[in-house]
Amino acid sequence: MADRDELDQLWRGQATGPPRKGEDMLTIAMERANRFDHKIKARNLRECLAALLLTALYTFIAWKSPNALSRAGHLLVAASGLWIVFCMLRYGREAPPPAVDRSLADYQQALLRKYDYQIRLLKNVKYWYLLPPYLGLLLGSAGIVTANQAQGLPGWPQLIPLAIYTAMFGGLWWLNEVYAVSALQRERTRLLEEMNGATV
Amino acid sequence: MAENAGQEPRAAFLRGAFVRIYEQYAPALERLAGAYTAAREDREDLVQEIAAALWRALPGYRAEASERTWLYRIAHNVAISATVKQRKREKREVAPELPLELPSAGSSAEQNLLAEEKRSMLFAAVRDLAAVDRQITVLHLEGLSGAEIQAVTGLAEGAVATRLTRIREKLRQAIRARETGDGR
Repeated sequence: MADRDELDQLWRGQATGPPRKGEDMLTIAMERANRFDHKIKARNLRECLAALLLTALYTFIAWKSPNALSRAGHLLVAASGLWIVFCMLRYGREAPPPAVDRSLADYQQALLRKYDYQIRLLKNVKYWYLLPPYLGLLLGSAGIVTANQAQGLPGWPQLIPLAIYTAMFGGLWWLNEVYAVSALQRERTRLLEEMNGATV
Repeated sequence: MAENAGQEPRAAFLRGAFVRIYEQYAPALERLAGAYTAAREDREDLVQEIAAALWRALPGYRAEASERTWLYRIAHNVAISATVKQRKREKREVAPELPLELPSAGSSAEQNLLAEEKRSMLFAAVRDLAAVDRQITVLHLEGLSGAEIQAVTGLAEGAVATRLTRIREKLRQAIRARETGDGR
């Protein structure tokens, strides 16, 4: 091996399969591009609707709450829904992908910055996405326990929904800060390896 | 690109531009995909991903760069993103090698077999290079000039030439190692 001519010959000799028509590939490209855009929009819409539903539900629960403490807690949950919608619209859940027509060096740096941004965002999820509604639920539960005790009823049954909320929020925290962050860190490491690592 | 044209003529213009560019560069894009992934279905998927990125980027093309260097930037950037997202990398690395050209009527089967082996080794060795070296190698083998490679990669022409010398040596060593069974 391997003078330039032989390398060129080998390189260009790769079979490329039956050529696909440009019109056919255009259809595929448009479908893929639309699918990607639709996926992002649908996910954001789904999350906003869920947050608005949370707001509506907990506003109603606050209205029916037995005392000021539980009302304050449930109103905090309702406000958290609006806060989450604001944060998603303002900051987005994902950094926009870097422009693909940059030079390769610029693109790879931009890709690294995107990973860092995304990891930072996921590590902050506990503050802007999980903590406000969880605090509201804690306060709401405390209010209900107080109201029950005032009526001579036991407070412990309220611990059951509280345990469910805690497990649910713990699961969400794990999905975001452990699972998703680990996956992104693996991709980031692979990018660095691709950029720097000569495995030959 | 037809700045003053209305929406419909512009859409038709973009479609036409896409079809022309894709048909002109389809074999080169397939070879480029082969430098990132070995399995046929992954290559096809990568080419489609590049085509989707081309379609999204086309309205922003301003002819400041040559069409060829612009397309190669997109193709390599999409390929590198796809590579780092590859979850089953190890599995794909042992996937079947690229299908090779069928023997031509006049050539002996032995010669073709040898060429096939060498081609497999070349593509495998290119896939093993670090991303920047792989990109430079592909661009070089596709016939881009030093200035064009600079325009695509952002590396100075002199640095490209130096790297190419080193890459050739690496490829030679890698292929030799594979031939003697010391490689992966």
